[in-house]
Amino acid sequence: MRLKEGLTVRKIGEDYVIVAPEQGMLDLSKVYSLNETAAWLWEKLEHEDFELDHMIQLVRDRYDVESISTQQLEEDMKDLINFFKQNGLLISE
Amino acid sequence: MSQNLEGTLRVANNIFFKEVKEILSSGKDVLFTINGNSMRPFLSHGDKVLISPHNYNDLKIGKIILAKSKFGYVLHRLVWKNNTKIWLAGDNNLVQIEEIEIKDILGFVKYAESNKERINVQSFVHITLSMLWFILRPLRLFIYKIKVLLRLK
Repeated sequence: MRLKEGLTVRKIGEDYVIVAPEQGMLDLSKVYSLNETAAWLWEKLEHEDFELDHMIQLVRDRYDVESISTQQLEEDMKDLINFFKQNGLLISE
Repeated sequence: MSQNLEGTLRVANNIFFKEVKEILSSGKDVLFTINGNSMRPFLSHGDKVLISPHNYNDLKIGKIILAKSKFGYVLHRLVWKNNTKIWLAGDNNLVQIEEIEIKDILGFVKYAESNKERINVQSFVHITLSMLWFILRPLRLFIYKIKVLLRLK
């Protein structure tokens, strides 16, 4: 998989959003909200090919998620991938 | 005004406009969706506006200005100005006028979009019609009062 290029994560208040900056302009009429983990992941995964396992490993390394089963984590990551897919934020699967 | 139809950005107005202000200060334009109908019939809830950073020469009568007023952030039309202040009025409002210090202005509307159609809010026709609409305020208020009276009886 690969994330769409040319998008950036911005923190607005407590929210993280993905925005599409164009030449000299920022479109805040079309934004995608992410939670903190998803925003952090976005920045880690940008500009490179990645797989589901890679995402799970990144989250395991960063957060104390011993208590969460691999299955649960996998479900969460799949949900995030689906969110990216549905909003056209992935350029390849 | 921060509410959003396509995305899911739902932050408080003051947080949203702080961000807008920051982007405008960096010299960039900002596009966002308007919330509310205080600029009807010229702009409606759900239309998009492109805001640009302003300089004093952009502050002309008839232009639509984004500013911080006593009542919060407003996107209203400039109806009068002097060297330190401007006065704004919502097209749909019948009485209220907001007095704004020049320093509290964030930017002005370059163009608007309604259902993907561009509205040239800086055109001569748009400005003339909107100012005519403003001048008709006493008449509009009169008609409104008549309507209210008729409804009451």
